[in-house]
Amino acid sequence: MSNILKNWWKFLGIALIMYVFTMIFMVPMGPGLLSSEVEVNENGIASIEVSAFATHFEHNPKNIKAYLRLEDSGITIECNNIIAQTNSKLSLQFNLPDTVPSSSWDLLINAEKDGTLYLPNALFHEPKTKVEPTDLSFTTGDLSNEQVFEKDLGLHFPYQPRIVESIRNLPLHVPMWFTMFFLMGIGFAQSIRTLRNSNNELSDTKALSSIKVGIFFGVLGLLTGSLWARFTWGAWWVNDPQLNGALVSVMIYSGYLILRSTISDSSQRARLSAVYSLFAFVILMVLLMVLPRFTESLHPGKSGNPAFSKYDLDSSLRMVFYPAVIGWILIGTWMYNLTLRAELLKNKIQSKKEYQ
Amino acid sequence: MVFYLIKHHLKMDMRSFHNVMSLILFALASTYAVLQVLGGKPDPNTWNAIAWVILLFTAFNSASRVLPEDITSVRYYMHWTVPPRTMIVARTTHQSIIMSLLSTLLLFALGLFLGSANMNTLSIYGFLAGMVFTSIALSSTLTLLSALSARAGAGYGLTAVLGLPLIIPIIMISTSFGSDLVAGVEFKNTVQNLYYLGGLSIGIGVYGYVLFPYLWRS
Repeated sequence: MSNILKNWWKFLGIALIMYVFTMIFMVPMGPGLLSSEVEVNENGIASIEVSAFATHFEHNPKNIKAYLRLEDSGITIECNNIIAQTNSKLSLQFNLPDTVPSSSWDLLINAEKDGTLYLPNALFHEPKTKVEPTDLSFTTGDLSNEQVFEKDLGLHFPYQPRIVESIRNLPLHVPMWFTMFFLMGIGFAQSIRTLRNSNNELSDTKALSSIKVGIFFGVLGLLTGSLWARFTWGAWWVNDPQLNGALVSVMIYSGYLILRSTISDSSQRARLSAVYSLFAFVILMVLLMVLPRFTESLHPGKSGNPAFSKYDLDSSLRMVFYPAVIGWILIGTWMYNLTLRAELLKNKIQSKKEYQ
Repeated sequence: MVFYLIKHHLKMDMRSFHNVMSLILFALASTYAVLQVLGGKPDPNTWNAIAWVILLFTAFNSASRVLPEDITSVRYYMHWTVPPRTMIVARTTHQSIIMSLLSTLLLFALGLFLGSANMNTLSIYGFLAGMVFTSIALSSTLTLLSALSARAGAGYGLTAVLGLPLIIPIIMISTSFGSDLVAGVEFKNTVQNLYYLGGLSIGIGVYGYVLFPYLWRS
């Protein structure tokens, strides 16, 4: 019993990770619009085929309403012919008079079960006669609050264009880096202690084991990130400052292990590798926290495209993301403890061998 | 003391000039080899990449030179006569001076063999300033690393293995600075990269200053 009480944080870690995995695979996706195919015939009738994701168009299709809206102007056109082909396919027909301004239109669809769905730049219309619009009688004013509403859908992950289902990767990718930072931080602190007290073999071993586990989490972060890049950017690896920084920092810390293997004297090894690890930690900070902010990056969270804004992380994702961060850090700490014990035993065996 | 040491290092360089000469030859020969490989003048972006890669390898070559104080007997003598922090300041400054001269020479060689990548005079001076700043940043990193690998008894191979990933932030800033210049961006609009490089070399220098005594004592 006392063991359980002493190791409560390990149980908490396992519980959190189990919770995270359950949520990742069980929580449904929210609805959204994927793409539109537009055809405009000679009479100025635009037929739009909309494909959607996780929507319920067949539920009460008579109540579906669709609007085209000109960006920022408040000019809207209501759709007069809506056919719900399947739950996720919708055919719309709009009347576009000759006087319609040449511009790109956003599409809004109101469905009873899904709320208002939004597809930017769904239609780009070039009228035959290039005149400034004077007669705007075919349009209606801006949409009222009743026409644009958010449906309370229960627990779901938010729909994001291009990311779609792969948003489930978030609690598996981002916490890896948090855990790596945490472990490298332990390595940093232990390296300082190694340098302060000479012949401190314990803190050197602590630094070694934390960095070993940290590299492991870094590799996991690279793998999950690579998988995610394949589905959102279309390639397993893209040349991007954030990605380069991540790979290079893992390489730098692998250099730490190489450095250790070249030195045979244990106290010298402790001192030199501590110096290197202090150096590596600062470069890690520069690479992952500072440099990507100054350069252009595809990766969210950098160069003015924030990762933790309300658009990226809504309440349902937060409910999974924060437990995931804590859970992975606890698991990482546990792995670090195990590695430390193994390393200490290794040292013991080594010193016994030397006595014999 | 620092000035005396720098002067001493430079004097030693003059005495065994073949060491410096080999570095100069390396820079010239690799530029010429690039000319032969490309078979003509490269486009500006390639020119930029070639310039930084040659500078990088010249820096590695320069850092891998065996300095007198890395020889064990001399090191014991230095131990009792020179404080370690004076030592690292002198070594870094000496290395920076040598590398700055080498980078100037390298730019001449690049201009001679590979053309000037359509840069105007001001941009070329800017590029030179970038090369000097990069040289200083590279020197402060590689001096510390070569001291580290000399103490580990592993030599040049270890400097390269540990150094290449570590200098990537520097090279990333330098290449973006250079590619701005060859793309025709005015010097004053990309000068912030030089500030980053300066800040980075000051940071690394201070870090080396703090850490070197731990490397040095045995």
